[in-house]
Amino acid sequence: MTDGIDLRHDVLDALLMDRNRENIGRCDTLMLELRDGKPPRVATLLIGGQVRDERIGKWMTHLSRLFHGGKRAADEGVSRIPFAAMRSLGETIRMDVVRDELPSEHVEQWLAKHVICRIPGAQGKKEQGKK
Amino acid sequence: MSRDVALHHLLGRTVRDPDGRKVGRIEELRAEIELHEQGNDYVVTEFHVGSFGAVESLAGSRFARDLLHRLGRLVPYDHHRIPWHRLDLTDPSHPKTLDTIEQLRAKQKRD
Repeated sequence: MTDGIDLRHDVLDALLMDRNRENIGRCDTLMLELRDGKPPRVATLLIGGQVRDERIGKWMTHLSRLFHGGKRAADEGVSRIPFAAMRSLGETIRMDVVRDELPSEHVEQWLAKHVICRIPGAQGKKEQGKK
Repeated sequence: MSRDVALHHLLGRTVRDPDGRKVGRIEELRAEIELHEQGNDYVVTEFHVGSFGAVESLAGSRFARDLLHRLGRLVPYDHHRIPWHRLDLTDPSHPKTLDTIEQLRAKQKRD
């Protein structure tokens, strides 16, 4: 055993980055695997979806259900990243994943495509960024 | 057999001793790297449980608990570090410590 981490203080709500140092959101919760006769294992890190709604409050869960017509699957829009994919822990947590492959990024991408791009000047900034 | 539980479902849960008395609420989980042949994993080694004595009923929300922490000495505060093997998580919504409050306090004084 080596020096440890405080899961609530160091990981929960921490800013996450992918392997290209792009922001992928904040850690909404961690899934712990409870095993018989062994210490609980920190299995996965979850971002977005129903988990985020739960943490905001019951009203958000109800609002989200209403918005999706009660047909939202529990895992919809949730990114599950194995905790073993953590590469560094500091002010931000770097994970060995690619942002575009995460389900929680679909909302961000939809907003960027349908809302942000229509704001005057947004497209220009995007093009400048690519250069 | 293994089961999954979300961290945010455990934080803030009231922990009781074998006699059903309130020990405090889960405030933090300490994790350390466990090395094994297949690689390494972070495992929870300690649960930090705290209570605010007479004002415990006010300390339900995270905001209230943080505020009471900041008040420091004005509010009596009990803090216990419970090793993973001394906390029964058979029912994660009703965690139970295997030690009584007296045993935990005695251990706290020794530490």
